[in-house]
Amino acid sequence: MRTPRSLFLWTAAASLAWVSCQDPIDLTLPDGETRLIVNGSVGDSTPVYADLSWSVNYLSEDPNPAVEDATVVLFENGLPVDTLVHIAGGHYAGQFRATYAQSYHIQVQIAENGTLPFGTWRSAPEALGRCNPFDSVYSAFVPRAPFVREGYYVYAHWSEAPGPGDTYRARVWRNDTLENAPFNLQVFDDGFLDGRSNNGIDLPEIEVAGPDSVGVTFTLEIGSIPLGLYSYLQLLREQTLQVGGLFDAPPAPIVGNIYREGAPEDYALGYFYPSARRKVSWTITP
Amino acid sequence: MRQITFILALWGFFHPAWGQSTTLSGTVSEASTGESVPSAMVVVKSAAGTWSAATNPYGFYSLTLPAGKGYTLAVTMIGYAPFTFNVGTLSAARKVDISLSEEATQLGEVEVVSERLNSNVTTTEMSVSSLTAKEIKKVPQLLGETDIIRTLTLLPGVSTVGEGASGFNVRGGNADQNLILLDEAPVYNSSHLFGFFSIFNADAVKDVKLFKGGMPANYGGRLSSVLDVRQKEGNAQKFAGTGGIGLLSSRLLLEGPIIQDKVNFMVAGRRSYFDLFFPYFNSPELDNTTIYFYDLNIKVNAKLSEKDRVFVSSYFGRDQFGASDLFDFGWGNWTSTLRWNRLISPKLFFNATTVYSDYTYQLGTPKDADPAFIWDSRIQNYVSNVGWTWYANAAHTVDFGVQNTAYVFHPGQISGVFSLELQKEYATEPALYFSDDWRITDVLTATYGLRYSTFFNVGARDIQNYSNPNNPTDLESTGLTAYGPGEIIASFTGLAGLEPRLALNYQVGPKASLKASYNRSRQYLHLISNNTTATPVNIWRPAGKFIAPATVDQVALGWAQNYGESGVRLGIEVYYKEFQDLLDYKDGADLIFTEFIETQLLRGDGRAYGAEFLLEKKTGALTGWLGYTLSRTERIVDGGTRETRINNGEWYPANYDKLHDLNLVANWSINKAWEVGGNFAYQSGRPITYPDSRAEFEGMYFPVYTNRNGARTPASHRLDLSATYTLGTKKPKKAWESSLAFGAYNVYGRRNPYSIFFRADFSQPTNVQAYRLSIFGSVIPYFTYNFTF
Repeated sequence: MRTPRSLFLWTAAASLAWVSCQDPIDLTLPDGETRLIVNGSVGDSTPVYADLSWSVNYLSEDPNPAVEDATVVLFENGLPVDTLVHIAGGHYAGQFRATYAQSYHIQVQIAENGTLPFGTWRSAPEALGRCNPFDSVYSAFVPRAPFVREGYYVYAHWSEAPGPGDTYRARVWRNDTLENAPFNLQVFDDGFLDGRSNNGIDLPEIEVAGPDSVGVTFTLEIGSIPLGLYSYLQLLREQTLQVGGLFDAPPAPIVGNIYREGAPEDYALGYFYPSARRKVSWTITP
Repeated sequence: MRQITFILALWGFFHPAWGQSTTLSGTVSEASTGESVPSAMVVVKSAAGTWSAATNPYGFYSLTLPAGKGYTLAVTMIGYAPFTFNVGTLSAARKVDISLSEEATQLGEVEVVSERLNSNVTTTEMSVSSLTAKEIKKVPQLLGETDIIRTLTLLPGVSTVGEGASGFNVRGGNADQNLILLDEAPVYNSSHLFGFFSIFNADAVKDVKLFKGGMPANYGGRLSSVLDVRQKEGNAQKFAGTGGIGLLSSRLLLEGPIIQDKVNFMVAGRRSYFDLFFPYFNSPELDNTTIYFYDLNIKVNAKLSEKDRVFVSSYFGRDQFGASDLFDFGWGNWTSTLRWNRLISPKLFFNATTVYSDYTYQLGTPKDADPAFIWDSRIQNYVSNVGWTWYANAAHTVDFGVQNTAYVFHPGQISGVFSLELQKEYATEPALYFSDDWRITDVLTATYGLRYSTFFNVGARDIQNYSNPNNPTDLESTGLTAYGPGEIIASFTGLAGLEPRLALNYQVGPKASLKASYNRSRQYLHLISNNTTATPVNIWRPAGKFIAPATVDQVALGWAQNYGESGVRLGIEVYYKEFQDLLDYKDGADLIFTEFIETQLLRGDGRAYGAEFLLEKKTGALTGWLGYTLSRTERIVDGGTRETRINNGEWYPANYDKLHDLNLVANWSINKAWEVGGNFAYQSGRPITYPDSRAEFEGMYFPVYTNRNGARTPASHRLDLSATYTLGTKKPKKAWESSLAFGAYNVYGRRNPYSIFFRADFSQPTNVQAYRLSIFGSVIPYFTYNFTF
């Protein structure tokens, strides 16, 4: 027999069971216009590369088809400095490395071949920014607390270069595997930390990862990125993670800096950017 | 002088047929409480003719009549028993105050009833929905919380983006285009619990009027609607109370005289207690979670003399949402109104109002957290209105006045781990208005008017300049200009501030009329929100150097028809609206804590058109309405470049565009004890954006969108039912009366789609599944114990 208290709770729970629900549904989406996708980068410590592919139906279970017969050229300050070579699966690589404050763009040429788009595309010129090296890295044991799980965490100390207008991207590898889902996308600007230090005194230290086990190695990379890529990645994260809810932003095109030559309104997808990358690694020890 | 004489003659202020005239005036109030009754029809008859007027929002009426004899007066208002009074001979100005009793089961004199029911035919008002608290309480509600805004969305022309959405949309307008007034104080967020409930405590509300078009000239500052909510004044006859205990919240209202026949008060409060159940869920995270709202309404009114009355009212409401020491989130409105009514003469009514309105929100960690982070934002309004109503003669009632609203915007201030404050913005919006309610002939009436609004955005503030001011971007900034305190940064004056208003009524017989209206409105504030529905943390920003005020022109044509004496009314209206200078947002716009918000905005236009049908039954045991809206709402954004265009600069449907919207609301008083009600709502699917294809960035797949709002969700529908059992109806009238209200929202558990979205399995990124999000996934029962004493 239900007690008055349990009856009240049952009634309350039944009455308040109005939480939203999400049901999987079957849906067919039409094929949109096929567009070229160009993703690439040139670093001051890593050579230039570019990955070329075609867009496909959003619900396709196949990978995006690679573009293997393109001509890809890197430009520095408007002058060609390297021609990239196709390695495999639409991946093109070169030898050139970037220099601070110089401007870079690539040009992609695709010859006519059936029904796929052809012509010349180029990226908008972007200058290489700056990025300080890490000050230190370490791990520490953190006890359980509300909303904090107990275990070993990896932290890093890093100082931002003085002077406003810098934007960065952070990436993390766990035992050499890049954590590369949209929710791993981390970009930040120096709006609130210009010239300051994440050293646990001036500002809180950077929490790289955790909690995790002893013996696991984490690598953190912070790389300078252009302001355009900063906005692009924020939008990409928003459009892949925060969708469909009451307070989510409406769907929006994620357009990078690749355009058909002579027709800036006709864009390709993806982004080419210079980046000064700094890395640090740490293996968790007791 | 000849021109002035001509103008006055044109207005018809010198009526050639008039001999000696006199005035019959007074107030209409409710007998049991002394509350003034707005919008009551006052009809005076004699052998010489028939004259009529409606009471103003304060219950005052005035009629200019030829001196004579054999006058009778009738006052009618739906929900009240008709009142008749033998005035007799009128030779000098006379004051007749009237008290109306609540309607008994038997209707009165057929002729009087007919006049009451035909008030919709005789008035020039169109595109107006008027509801009393009593009517609203009859509609089945979510969790038993009587919700004024949710009820309004059951009327034609009023909709929401979806269930649980904050705010409402009127005839194709954004949620920020509704001027929401509580005792003349602007309210900036009308929702509790992120949009599930409205801030209006129905117990404390006397009267709700929604203007969807044909707005009177004394209202301005928003494009699409005015929701004018008036609080109760307090029982002038005796101390009384009303309350309710529900599953979600409880409420209590107390009212009564402080000094008999001079001063009375009303105080009402509500508090939700959903979070009190959290400890029973055995979840440590929920133990320290808070989610609740409360509000408090206070009103005191004092009759200083036979001619002077002062009202002081205030609303304070707050929502609080927090989780342990992780975050704290709160928002709320505070409004205060001081109002003075003076009857300068039987023909001249004066009202002066001063209002303070303050909307704030805070987001961050608890104050004692380490590190602490607190973000505060607020908007403050200081409103001053002075207005007169001149009952010039039987043909003309003239309203005129002066208004000013001063704004202080605090876009954001961060304190705690670091300190930062976005610059405050200051603005002022002075306006003048004039309107004349002109009875041209016995069958043709017009309400014409003009509002003239201006707006000044003033310093102190630093303004960023751009090489291309038509498309401001941070990358093209050319430096800052510093403006001193009070220095004008941008002003909007001139002819663009003229807002003409016109409404015509041509009566086709005693039970039908043809109506037409035109109005232009201007809005100088914008809610900066790029969400599907507005959130409490969205900020308001004024028109300024780079943000233009928005304008709308609306024309409407309507037909009002009444049938028999059963209280059945039919209203049909068609409308067309053109919007200019609406705001939209660049792709990926960053609206949070952005100092120079113009760099994230796009300018666009809009249009909305549709037809509304409303068949309603206002009297008898069975009441309710059937409403249907057929409409389209579209936007266009074409700034000339790809970055400043949406959908290639072509028209696209707005988020809340719904072709069909059907609502059936019914309430049946079976006997004194039992009352049952139900409503059925059906709406076409709303626009949604599906991906055209899939692209990739460094191993991450993402959707490619090129056609905003190019698809639609499936249609939504639901049925709600309610029943009220009044206790002790077989016993003599008691001091304590109570009832049990119970029912269910979404009776057949329809999972209405709020949106369709896609989610990838990140371990296998090409594996993408489509999902339907439903805000209410099942039937939601409720139970409330209500009482009055």
